[in-house]
Amino acid sequence: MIFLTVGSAYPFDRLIRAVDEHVASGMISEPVFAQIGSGSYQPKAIPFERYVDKDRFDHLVATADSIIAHAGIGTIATALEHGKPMIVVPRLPEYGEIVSDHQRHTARRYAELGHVMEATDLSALPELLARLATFRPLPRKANVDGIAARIGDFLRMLRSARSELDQDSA
Amino acid sequence: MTEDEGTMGEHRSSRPLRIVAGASTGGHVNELLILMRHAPAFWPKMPDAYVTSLPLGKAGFAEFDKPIHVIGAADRNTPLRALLVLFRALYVAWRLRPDVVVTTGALPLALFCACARLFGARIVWIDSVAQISGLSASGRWVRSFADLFLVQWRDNQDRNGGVEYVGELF
Repeated sequence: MIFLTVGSAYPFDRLIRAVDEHVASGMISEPVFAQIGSGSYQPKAIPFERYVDKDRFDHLVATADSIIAHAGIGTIATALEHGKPMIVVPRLPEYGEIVSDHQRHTARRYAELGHVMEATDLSALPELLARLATFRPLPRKANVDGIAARIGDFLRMLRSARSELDQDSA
Repeated sequence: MTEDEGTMGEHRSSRPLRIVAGASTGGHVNELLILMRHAPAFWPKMPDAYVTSLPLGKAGFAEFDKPIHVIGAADRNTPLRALLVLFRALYVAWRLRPDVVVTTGALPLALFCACARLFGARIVWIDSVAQISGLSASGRWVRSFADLFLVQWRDNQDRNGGVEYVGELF
């Protein structure tokens, strides 16, 4: 199963329509399940839901063979957690799909780092899906402890600065 | 781990730091949740409340068993909604009076930071990992009054400008 997801915040009709049409024409033969958000285009060839909660989203990612999604960090993070091969399609400001170029940058950077495949031409999605079958995403290494520790130091500094203030005023 | 609950903390300070953590619903929440799951080992205490933009984002914070406040969604293309978010942010900031706000963005949380700042809060801003080519628009604004500003890509750090890179959440 291919899980197609565009996040909860904005519609992404261009992507939903493209996949729906590829399925309708038989260019994509795998079953697809779509999460379409607030889009006005309703898929005809694929089952869909508008929104899914976090648990169901995680379950859909975990049970999917591959994922097609907007270049949202949360979606990419979840897919990589589960080691799923993924095609990301950036939302573009020229189509009013987002306010800035940041999904374009996200898609390019994560593709360069070998974590995802990037699609810019939606008519080429079926070929890209064929290549995705042999694509193994590189896991991503984060340093969450480093960030948590830096903020922890800051919080302790604040606390001791304030207790000095308390002592001064006592 | 939670020194504030011990006797030492009580001696030195009249009350523990009031910490509020927040993120816009979607990828920003995911990033914050990753941080929060690592925070117990590094922070003097965990947040007393959470702030997000949409009711959908509340589920992610449920595990912490603290109040979750929803201030509404907006981006820079929806100035009227941003104004509404500003009023809600002001109300929530006034009610919570945090000593520190820790956030991963975006615009609604930037507005919340500004409101909390009015009431004396310190601001910890973590620019989203999605911001690959420079700071987010919200981040550029918050940077002018943030007390700790972290980015998740080394290229974006600017030590002289107070922008630190210590690692990535994802």
